[in-house]
Amino acid sequence: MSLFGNLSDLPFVEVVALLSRKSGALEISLGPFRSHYQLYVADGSLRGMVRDHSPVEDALQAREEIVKLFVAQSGSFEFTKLSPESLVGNLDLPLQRILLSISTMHDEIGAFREHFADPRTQFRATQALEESLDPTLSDFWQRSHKYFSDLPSGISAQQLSSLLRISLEQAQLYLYKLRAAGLVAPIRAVEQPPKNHQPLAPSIPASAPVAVGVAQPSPKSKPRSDGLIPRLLQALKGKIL
Amino acid sequence: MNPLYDPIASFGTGPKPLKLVVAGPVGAGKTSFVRSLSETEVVGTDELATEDIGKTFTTVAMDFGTLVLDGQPIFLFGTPGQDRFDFMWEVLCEGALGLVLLVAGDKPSEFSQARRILEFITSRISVPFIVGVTRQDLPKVWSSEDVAEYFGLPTAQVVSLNATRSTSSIFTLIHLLELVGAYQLSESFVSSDAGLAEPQNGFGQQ
Ligand SMILES: Nc1nc2c(ncn2[C@@H]2O[C@H](COP(=O)(O)OP(=O)(O)OP(=O)(O)O)[C@@H](O)[C@H]2O)c(=O)[nH]1
Ligand SMILES: [Mg+2]
Repeated sequence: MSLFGNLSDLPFVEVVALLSRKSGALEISLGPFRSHYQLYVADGSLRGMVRDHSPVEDALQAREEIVKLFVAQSGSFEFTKLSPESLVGNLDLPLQRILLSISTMHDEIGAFREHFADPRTQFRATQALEESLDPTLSDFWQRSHKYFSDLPSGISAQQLSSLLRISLEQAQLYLYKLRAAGLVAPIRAVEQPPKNHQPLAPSIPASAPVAVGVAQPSPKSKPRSDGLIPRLLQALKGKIL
Repeated sequence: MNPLYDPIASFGTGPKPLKLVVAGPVGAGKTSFVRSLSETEVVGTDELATEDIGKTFTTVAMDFGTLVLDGQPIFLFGTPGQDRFDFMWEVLCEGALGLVLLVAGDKPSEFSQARRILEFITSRISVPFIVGVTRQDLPKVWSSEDVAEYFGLPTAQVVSLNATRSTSSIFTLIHLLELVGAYQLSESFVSSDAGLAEPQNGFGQQ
């Protein structure tokens, strides 16, 4: 029995469905000058992956490669049966579930693209993880959380994409979801002012168009009366009196 | 117009000018705001919009106006709203005394872009900022409280205004300066190098 063909006729999703109860090595060649893959599968799970002769190191990168196969328009494939015992690798990823989450991810990127933060916006961690994340997000979080919490200037989708070798849009989607989950937020390079900051001069009357959220005296912010800002403020107020 | 101040002639003689930046999406009211505040003729670069952006004239480089407060010149820079000019936001905001991000209160469709601009700038550059919700004179607009909620900001950092009115624009500036004062940066930030301070952004910052 032999299982071979081209992804142009039999898309990767369908190949994976066929392999769900088989064990062996699936070779895929996306074409001349393009990547060549070996996927080791046993009992529907991806146990190891080699891309262009080097092993794929972790689940996050494996997902990234699976995305490429998922969207490949063509590429020859051939499956060779092997005994499951010989297939002990560094990965253990349920292939069909991953494909499902990838197709969801594709839809999500399409749906949320407009709302993504700028790829250069720096993010930081806001709270520790309490509940469990879905597996895709959790792989990403495991690889990335140290950057969010350890780097004082935070980390951007652009930097994550090159550090973790994933596509920029995926990094943006992960950030978008982590943010929605309340785990990360954009850095404010300038710190938030003290709550209830004290206006330096008599505050604007409540009827004025801008007076929002005024201002209990705070012992921390004692301005210098000869400072530049109070001078500017006084001059400005002079203009409207 | 302030006949006593010629920004070009005064350059290099008096106190170093401070820089205030006005950013926001297309049509937020940036040009109007700079015009409402400036004492000198605003150097504008408005041109007929080449793309369909929902308005006829749009700012293609930036607006530039000036203001002198108690002898201290202030340069007002309005950034262009179109995305393809985003490289200018960072350049302009580096070393600025403050940033006003404007968003039109009657155009919620623009909010996500406004938030994207704001977060991009404020995550990379250490600049005090407020968000100004323009068009408050119109009947159907978002309140500054709701906009604050959307931006995830304290309500004190979001104000409402009519950018075409100078009084309203001055109130907005007052609010920003009060915030700048509250940061207690009056000594380190607004030193002799105020407005031209070193940028604090990027990856290597410790
Ligand atoms: N009623 C009202 N109209 C405003 C207000 N702010 C701006 N406008 C009007 O809205 C239109 C757009 O304002 P601009 O100041 O050109 O906006 P902009 O942000 O400079 O736009 P771009 O340069 O294209 O990015 C103009 O017709 C202004 O007169 C406001 O607060 N109230
Ligand atoms: Mg303009």
